[in-house]
Amino acid sequence: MRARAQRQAGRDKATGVWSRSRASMSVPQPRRRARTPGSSRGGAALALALAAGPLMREVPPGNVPSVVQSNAPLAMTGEGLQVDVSRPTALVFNLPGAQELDLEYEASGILMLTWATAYPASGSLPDHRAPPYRYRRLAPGRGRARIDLRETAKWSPSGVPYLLLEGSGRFTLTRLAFLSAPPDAASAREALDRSLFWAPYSFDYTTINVLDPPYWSASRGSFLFDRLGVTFLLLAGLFALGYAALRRRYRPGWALAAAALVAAAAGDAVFLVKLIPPLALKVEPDPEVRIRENYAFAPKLGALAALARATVPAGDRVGVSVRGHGADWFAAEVLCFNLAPRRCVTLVPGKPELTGLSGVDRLRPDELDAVVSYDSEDPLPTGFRRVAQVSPDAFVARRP
Amino acid sequence: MSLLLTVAVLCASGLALLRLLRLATGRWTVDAPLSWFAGSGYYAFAAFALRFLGRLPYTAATALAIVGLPVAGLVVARGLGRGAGVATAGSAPPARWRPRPAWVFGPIALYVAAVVLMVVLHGANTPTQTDDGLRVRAFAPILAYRDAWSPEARAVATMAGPVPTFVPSLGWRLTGRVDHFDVNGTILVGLAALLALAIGLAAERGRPERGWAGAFAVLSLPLFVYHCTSTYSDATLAIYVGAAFLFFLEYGFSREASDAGRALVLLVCAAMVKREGELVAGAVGLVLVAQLAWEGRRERYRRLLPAALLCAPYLLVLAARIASVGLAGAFPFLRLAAERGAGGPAAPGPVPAAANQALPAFVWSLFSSGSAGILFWVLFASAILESRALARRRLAWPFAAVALLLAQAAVTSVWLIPEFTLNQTTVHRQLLPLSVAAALWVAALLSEAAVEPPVPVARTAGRVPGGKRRAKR
Repeated sequence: MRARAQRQAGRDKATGVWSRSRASMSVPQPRRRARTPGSSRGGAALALALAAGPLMREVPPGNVPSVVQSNAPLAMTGEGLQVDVSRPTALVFNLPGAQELDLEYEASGILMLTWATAYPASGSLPDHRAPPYRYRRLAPGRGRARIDLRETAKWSPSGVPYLLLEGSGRFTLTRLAFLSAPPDAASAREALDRSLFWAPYSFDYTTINVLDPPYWSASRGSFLFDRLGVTFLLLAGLFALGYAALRRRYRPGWALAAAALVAAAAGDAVFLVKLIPPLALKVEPDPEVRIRENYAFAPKLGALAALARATVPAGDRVGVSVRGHGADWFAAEVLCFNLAPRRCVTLVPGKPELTGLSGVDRLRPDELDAVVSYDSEDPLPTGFRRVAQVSPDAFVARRP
Repeated sequence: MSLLLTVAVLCASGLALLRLLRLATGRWTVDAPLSWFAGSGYYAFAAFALRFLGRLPYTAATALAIVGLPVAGLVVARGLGRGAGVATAGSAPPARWRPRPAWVFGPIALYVAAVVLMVVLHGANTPTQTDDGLRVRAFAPILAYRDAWSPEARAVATMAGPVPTFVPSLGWRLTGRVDHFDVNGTILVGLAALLALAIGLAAERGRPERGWAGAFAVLSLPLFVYHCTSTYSDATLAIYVGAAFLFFLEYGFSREASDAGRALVLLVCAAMVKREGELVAGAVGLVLVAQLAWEGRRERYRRLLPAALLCAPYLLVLAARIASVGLAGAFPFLRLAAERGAGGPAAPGPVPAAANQALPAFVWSLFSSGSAGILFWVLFASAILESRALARRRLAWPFAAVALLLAQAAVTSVWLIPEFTLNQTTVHRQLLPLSVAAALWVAALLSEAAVEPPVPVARTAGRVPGGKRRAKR
């Protein structure tokens, strides 16, 4: 746990800009609950389901609205529980003790689902980007997601599932089932350790500094490579003694090689199991498609970057307008980088001189030919009009 | 397309340069990957020096002139009857391509192939990410393509180093079209070249086990594998240092001056990656030059002259850097060390820290974090248990280089910039060149140690290893 704590501290305090950006990405508290007939029966059904044991339990469709709270309006339709996503939309499931969720859904537009563990009693929502950052892009159409909540930060049987939908589109939850944590603490701890041991790496924009340290036992705070290192030493000693007994010669080099091979193979096997799920292994020759599809944790941003590259002429001078009056550095950098070699700056209202990546590009607002806007609260500068859009809040504008 | 053009042009230029310097081996399995390193290093060096020292604009014509110069030089040299410029390792055993035993190296080869395939696919698919609000690493080659050098742009290029700045931009310069994925591509080509060099060089020298073990060890470094799919230059630096280290190790086995020359050329290339490249490459180069001096003392240090001539062009890089960002900006680590030594603040880090707090964090990053797998466990155990055999196996000097890199990393992480060790951020990236060099060293040591040594004749007379069955024969 120490590593995670250290890493978290680093991320939270890395730079002032980082903190600003994270603040700007926070989501409001859940406040609404869908009003549907049958809500009052939900508590009893839920209690029954929770008491039933370790099997996956389905929440009856009529009870789903009583289980889910959100900061956005929810509507119960014939298909299921529906929510329109235009801003980050939190879904908190009142399922204490759930360790897995099984969702069937229908999605439209560009949506990304993030999951974490919430503790409503604490009065705050989880930092959904805290490592390990768990997310997946929801392809348009019907789909199913089996979510292991134990892989999230700070999961415990007293937490509740927290999902966050980002992007732009519509999400309909057509079926909800969950698996409760084992009732006894030892089994729950064992299940947590097993889940975290095999949990895939979660790539985000700070993974470049360190991969999630693999645990041997997360509940005891012991790390896999400590165990493998000690195993390697023991094996080397054992092999050396065995070789000496059989051949009557002392060959530490042979024993070290054999032990290193065994330990490295074990470490590599775990590494591959954790590495493969988040990799993008599809062969895609077109770089524009790669930009559009492969910003794994920011699909709407990738789509906007690709759209802007196709829409903004090569010689244009571009301003990017992002959330927090220019504070969302990730979006600003992704857009300006992908638009390069066009000159590109971040729009900050009221600033006479705007700057771009590393302060290299410097432009006045009146020098801009195009504006690329991503989740921005700021109005378009005078004289610009939309020419293309990914969604109402992600678009390209140019001077007529 | 532009990446393929870059690779083809730089390999041709690099091969011509190797032949001019008489550093080509005459074996395409070695020369092909080596030419990528030599060509890209040479191109970055020339483009950087011409732009910032010679004040020449960076155009397609300039780029073509740079890559064409070695080829033209080779043609002229051949016209003058100066030969092909191949230096082979005369004392090496004959080439052998199949490592033994197959049941060990078969799965290793499968692992190497699978990981390389995954890294190449994911790396080629993944658009550039950013990690902080300060800069995007892959922006430097785009600045080179623009060739508009404001002070801010010069600072970015100096921070990235000539190789990451100019190499990806070559194809764009020649085709007039920017493909952002070429930045990923050049790193992936570097990784493939490193692995091909490790396997090809060892096989050509009759020790394929060493090559495959080296490739396996390098690909058992999780953070390095991940970095190769990014556009960060830490992987590039580690790859160049690794390529140089292969020839450093090989020099120990062959004692051929040409192997030491190749290692020095690659170290000069490594010094042109990132700001810290010259510190890392300098540490390895220092030990290699010390070995050359020690072994050449009876020849009145004549071996050092070619080494000095191979390293001398780096002075032009230093001069170009000073011309670009001034003396104070050219050596940030010296300034930082001076400030730290005078009791001043270190880097603008987020966590105030003392060295005694950073040391456990540094040790944790080596052994427990998993960034380098179990490498450092194996490294320390091997160095201790095989210490008496290091000189016999001709691995003592490379081990000194690994030890110096480790000491350098420890000083930087614990004393110079402890803040980023405590929050577990840059310390892992900083260890990548050390990890790759150490992995190759461990692989060389253990693959040599695992081979059954020839039995001394004097001992066989009385007692034969292997038991009675063999003795009866």
